Amino acid sequence: MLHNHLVVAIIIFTLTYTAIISEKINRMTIALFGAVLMIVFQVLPQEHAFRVIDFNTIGLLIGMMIMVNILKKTGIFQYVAIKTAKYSKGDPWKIILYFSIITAVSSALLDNVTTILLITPVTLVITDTLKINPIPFMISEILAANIGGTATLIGDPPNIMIGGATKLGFLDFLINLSPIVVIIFIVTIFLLKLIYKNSLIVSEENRKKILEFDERKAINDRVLLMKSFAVLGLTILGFTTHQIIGLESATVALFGGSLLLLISKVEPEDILIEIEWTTIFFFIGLFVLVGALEEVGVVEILAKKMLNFTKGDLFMTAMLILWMAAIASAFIDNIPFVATMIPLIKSLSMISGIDVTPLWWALSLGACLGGNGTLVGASANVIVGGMLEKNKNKLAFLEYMKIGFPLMIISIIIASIYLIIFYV
Amino acid sequence: MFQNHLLVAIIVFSLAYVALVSEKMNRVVVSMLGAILMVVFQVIPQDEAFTYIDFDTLGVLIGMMIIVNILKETGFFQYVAIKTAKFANGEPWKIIVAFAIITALFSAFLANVTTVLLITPVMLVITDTLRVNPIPFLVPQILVANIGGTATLIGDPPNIMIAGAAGFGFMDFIINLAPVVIIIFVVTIAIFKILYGKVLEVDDRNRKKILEFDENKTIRDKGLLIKCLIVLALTILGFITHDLLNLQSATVALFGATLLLAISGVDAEEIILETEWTTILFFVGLFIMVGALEEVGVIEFLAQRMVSLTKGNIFITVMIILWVSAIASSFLDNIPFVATMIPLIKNLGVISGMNTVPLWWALSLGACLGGSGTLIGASSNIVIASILEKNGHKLGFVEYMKVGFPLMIVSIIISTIYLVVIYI
Repeated sequence: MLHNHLVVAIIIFTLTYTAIISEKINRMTIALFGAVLMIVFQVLPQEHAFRVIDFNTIGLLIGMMIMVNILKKTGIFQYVAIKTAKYSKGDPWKIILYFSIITAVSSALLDNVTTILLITPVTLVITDTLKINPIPFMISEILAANIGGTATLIGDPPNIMIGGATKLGFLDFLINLSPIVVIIFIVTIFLLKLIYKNSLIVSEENRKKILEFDERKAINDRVLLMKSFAVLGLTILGFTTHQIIGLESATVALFGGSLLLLISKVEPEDILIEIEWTTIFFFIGLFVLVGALEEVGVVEILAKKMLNFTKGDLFMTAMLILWMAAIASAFIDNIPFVATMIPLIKSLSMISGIDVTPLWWALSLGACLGGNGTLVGASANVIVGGMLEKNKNKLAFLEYMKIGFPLMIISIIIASIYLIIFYV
Repeated sequence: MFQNHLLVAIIVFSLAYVALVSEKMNRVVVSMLGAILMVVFQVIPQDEAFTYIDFDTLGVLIGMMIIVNILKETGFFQYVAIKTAKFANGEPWKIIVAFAIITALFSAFLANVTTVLLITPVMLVITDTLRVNPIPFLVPQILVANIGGTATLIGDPPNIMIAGAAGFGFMDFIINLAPVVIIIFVVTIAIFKILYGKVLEVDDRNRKKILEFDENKTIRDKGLLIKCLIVLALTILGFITHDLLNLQSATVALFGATLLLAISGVDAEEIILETEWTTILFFVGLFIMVGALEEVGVIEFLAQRMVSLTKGNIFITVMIILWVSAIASSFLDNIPFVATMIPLIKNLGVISGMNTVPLWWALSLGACLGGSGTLIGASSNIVIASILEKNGHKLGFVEYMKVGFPLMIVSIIISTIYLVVIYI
């Protein structure tokens, strides 16, 4: 009986993951369907399935999505973008530099997809005005979004999941990841400068047009902006102190989200409908799928195999996780990958008793930064690709990869050095 | 410290209830914020709060919402409505009875709100064609939607919640509630015959126009309709046998929903977007708030009070639950009421050793049927009233209540007799 469950669980899991990677069917539908099949075939009972869902991750995602959905209505992203473009006096390299910084900071504190979704159109207006090829601008922003997201607990879904599964709090992420993220960001920008320096030429006349933009028109609702900032500030303060005041990160995010809903007087229905429910349910389905694998003992077997392979050596294990996560995330969705790795690492720690903290950082760095490798590596990349295409500037898969992949590899090399020096 | 928690829990809960009853603020925001405050003030830790969420209830709700959202795209409801009107030969009283039967059936197996949302416009087209006052046609619709929903586990949210908490299966509801629901339905229709039977006269010419309607035009997608009906039949079969198959109702509903999403080829994002997330989050917030009250012992205290008031007499307890739920539900949202009553009844059983089975049926009958008492007693009532208003026919609060309230009281009297005869 137990053996049958093992076989059924592996078959359902493999078929589901194959379908997710093939991208033929909606990923949420297939993940949820796979999860329900695990219950229908009694691999794990329904109550148990609900228990393996990480609601700290789900709550954090929902809370942040609510705040971001309200904040984006204010026009603040456009305001900052135009203000920055004017500040740089239309100098193309400076625009790339400043926009990359804004994108990185915003991706670290909010989410990558929203940041990219809002900054890309403004960037395109600016490059149109300057009559310059937008590709260098967009590639820089893609890289900055994924690098910035790596720095904090709330920056990127893999970090949210790792935070949910472990005792690591907001400050742990900030202390352990942001120094290395800053270094990677600087190196990346430096390399981008070398690559693009000579191709960025604009006429003086077009440059002046930028200065005529009026950033104040971008702000739709000043009062709402103040309220959003106040709540966002409070929430980030809550994140930085959540371990001290004894609250979990989801509580902080949901408190911020519902407080802002209450005081902003926007229609809650409108905001709640804009939450990416398909993403939320994709997560739920994955948690159950992976939970079922754990239930039948597959994760433990894999962890043992991995220990045999690395002979319990922390250095080997960290490198294996970092590079595997990076290469996998460059080509496939990093969320299912991370969802599977989390119980594996937990199991590893139980079996071998080694301190797995460095492994969590390796997973985070690999999964988040790996997304830069190709145009399909992260949602932010796909969005930029789609927007450019709509704007009749096609960014080809290979064209992106020629720049993105080597830069991703460099960031992973830097991450390897960092991990070796500080943790191994 | 413990005393403080008790006080905080009661204050947060009372304020939230006052806000919900006053309807000044959006109910989702109130329930979410109330729940978060319970966690922020450490009345209940976050992990504990999540365990109070009844995921079986949420799973059934979400699963059925997805199925109904796909089904309604097919034009099936309109098809059945026109077919029914033609079958009734355009005769007004026959139309009322035939529509009452289909609305009751749809409400029993699908959602009340969707049913009336889709059937009411068709009825208005019919009454326009017949050139008759639509009020006598639609008032029965309000009542039968609530009556039909009482009959099954999936018919109305209170039943879904009771099933999740009491461990009743689909067939338990059918066996225990369907007989009395049929009696109430027949009595209600008989009273309507007395009230409206004589005033309904139509011109023969207009009657013939009804027969010219083409129901086949309403079907938008035949292939999709067939898939929907197959999955729906499979789901209902799953509900009927779920106890035998050893699956919980949420598993059945979610299996049907994800299967339909996978095979229907509809855009999953769009269907998910149409799910009433505000309702789902409203439930989540309520479960946590009531859970916090339970955690600090308020529910147990109330249960003890109730036991000493009724001296553990089952007849008195059943009557109190039935009548209080009916009166409360005719003026207030029945969901928060039922969410609070559920742990109360559980505690009552533990303290007094009383057989709680009749109490659950009393709660279900009171909360579901009570919704017919006033125009704001249930969501489907509000939907019908607003569709009428949009079409230039106002149904006044008092005008409805004159008919609805006495009929609701009659249904509760029948329930009283039924409960006394069968269970006590």
